[in-house]
Amino acid sequence: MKLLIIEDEASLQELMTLTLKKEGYIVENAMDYAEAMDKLGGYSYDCVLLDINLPGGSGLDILEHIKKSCNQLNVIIISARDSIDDKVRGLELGADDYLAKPFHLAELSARIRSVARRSRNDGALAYKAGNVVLEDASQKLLVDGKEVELLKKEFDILKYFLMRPGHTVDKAVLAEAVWGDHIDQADDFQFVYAQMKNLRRKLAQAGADIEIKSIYGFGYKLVKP
Amino acid sequence: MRLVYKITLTFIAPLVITLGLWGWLSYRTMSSRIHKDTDMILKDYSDNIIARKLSGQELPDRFNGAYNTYYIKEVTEDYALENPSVYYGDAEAYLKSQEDFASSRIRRQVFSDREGRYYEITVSLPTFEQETLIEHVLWWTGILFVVLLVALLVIGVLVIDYNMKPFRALMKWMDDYVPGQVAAPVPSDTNVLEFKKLANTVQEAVDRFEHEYEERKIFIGNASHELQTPLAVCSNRIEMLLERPDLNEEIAEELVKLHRSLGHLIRLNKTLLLLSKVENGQYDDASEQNLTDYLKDVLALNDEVYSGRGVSSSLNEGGQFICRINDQMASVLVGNLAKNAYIHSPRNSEVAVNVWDRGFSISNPGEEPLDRSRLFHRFYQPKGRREGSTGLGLALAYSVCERNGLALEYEFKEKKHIFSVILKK
Repeated sequence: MKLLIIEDEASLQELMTLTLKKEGYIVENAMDYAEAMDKLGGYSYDCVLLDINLPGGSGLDILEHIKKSCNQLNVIIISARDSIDDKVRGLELGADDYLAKPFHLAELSARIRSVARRSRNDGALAYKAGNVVLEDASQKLLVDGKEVELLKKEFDILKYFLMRPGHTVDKAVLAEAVWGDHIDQADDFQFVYAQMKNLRRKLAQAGADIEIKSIYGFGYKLVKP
Repeated sequence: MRLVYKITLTFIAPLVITLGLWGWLSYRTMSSRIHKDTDMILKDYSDNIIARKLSGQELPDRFNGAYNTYYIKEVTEDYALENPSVYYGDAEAYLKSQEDFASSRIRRQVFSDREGRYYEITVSLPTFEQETLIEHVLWWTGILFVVLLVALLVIGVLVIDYNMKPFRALMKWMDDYVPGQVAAPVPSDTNVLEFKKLANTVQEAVDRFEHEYEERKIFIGNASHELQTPLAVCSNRIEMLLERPDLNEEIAEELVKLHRSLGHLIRLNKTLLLLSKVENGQYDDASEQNLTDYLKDVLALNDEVYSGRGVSSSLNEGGQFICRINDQMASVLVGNLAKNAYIHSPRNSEVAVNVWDRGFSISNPGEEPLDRSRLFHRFYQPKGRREGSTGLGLALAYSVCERNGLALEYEFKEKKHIFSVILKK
């Protein structure tokens, strides 16, 4: 899968490139409006990561150009502006997703995977890892083809990890992602541990070959067999 | 007080004095004219009698049926020399027709006949006719005074009001003006120089203000961009490091601490931006929201999150609190107040929420009251900083209330901190 990152901040571009290359993507870069238009004109990509504020022009103009010329191309807007208005505007112009800065790198790859899957429309939006299949639409977990009952929060946690396989996730970040922004000052994570304990038990009992491992006591990581 | 009434009131005092002076002067002129006429009549009458007396003609009857009377007496030469001039005065004179004394105008004059004898003639004319006349004059002057005063005031009010039309239009425009919203041009449909100038000045000021408002909004957006990107880079670099296989646990722990501190910084930046946006009125698009629903959601969430500390909640629904507010702001308001209560609750305690038709309150147990004067200021931290606290939560809640016609109040009662949000009247 070939990606084009249009981002003027060199450090951020470098980090995104490194992370995504590690995930097996082919990554190209553009630093400004002109270079971006140039590359889009000359080559074809599967997905574009697009910053709005660019030297020489607006990312929204690039988005409009993309949607006019080749509608198949996926676009994820990456912007420091995170007001609802900006998001709505970006999505109305045809962007597939909107990621506000600052974001977690794991989040970035999760979004790319999700956009790519949506465009391929494979497996009716199911997440697979080892013998585990999580069906998003029907909210079902299948381990070796057998259904396992999950509570809402357990489902959300598992989905979060399945979208970020191999990434270490800070428990504070997980809590914020699953429980919402308002828990940002919680000083103990008992509520996370409780859910995680139940989820792990259910996965183990069903004979799942994936495991959510604790990492150094600060977070978790999904490991495949 | 409306300008037109203010002008009219200022106008009344000089108007009353001027009109009063005019009334008094015309009354005085009229009454002195009437007195002069009376004196003329008395003089003619007196002259007539003196002429008859000197020519030896028969004198008329003293009380000839008319009201005027006369009286002649002989006086000494000394008296005559002492009273050489004619005397006019007011006195009581006997009126035969009325068989009574009546206040009259009298005229005395000393004259001598050919034999050198001196006489004094006193003629009198009762003044009740004149007094009636003067009384009439006084009445009419008074009535005229009042009518003129009222008429001038009414005309004044109408004329000022009519001429103030462009000014009123300008006032209405100002009332309707909301910063940041596209407004109709300032009304300047007038040929009065001052109003034209005023309208132009207002238009210029509003244009300048709008421009600055827009600039500030852009600045906030740019500040956000400028800070978020380096923050993202820092945070992402740490995440990259954490993925490295050659990492040992000790370094990983330090990195995680760094990552969390950075997370606080990111949150602080985001909250500050949110606060600026709220204060700039960027979330003023309100719709009807049932805050009871928001409270229920937020309590359920926090009950779970703080269950480890044994903090639970109770909700007492005395009504549905529905108010006009932006949905994001409703969530920010309720979320911040609830979080504040949970965070500052001691272990194994209860956060109590009361809802009624015009507001809600959230209370949690506490030891001593907070400094009410600084409580809603930015970065207020009671008794030592909490790690990860932005110190902006209550300031944000306060701003949201201010922008949405709500009052945020604090009281400390029975060892409880109580924060109430109440719909302003």
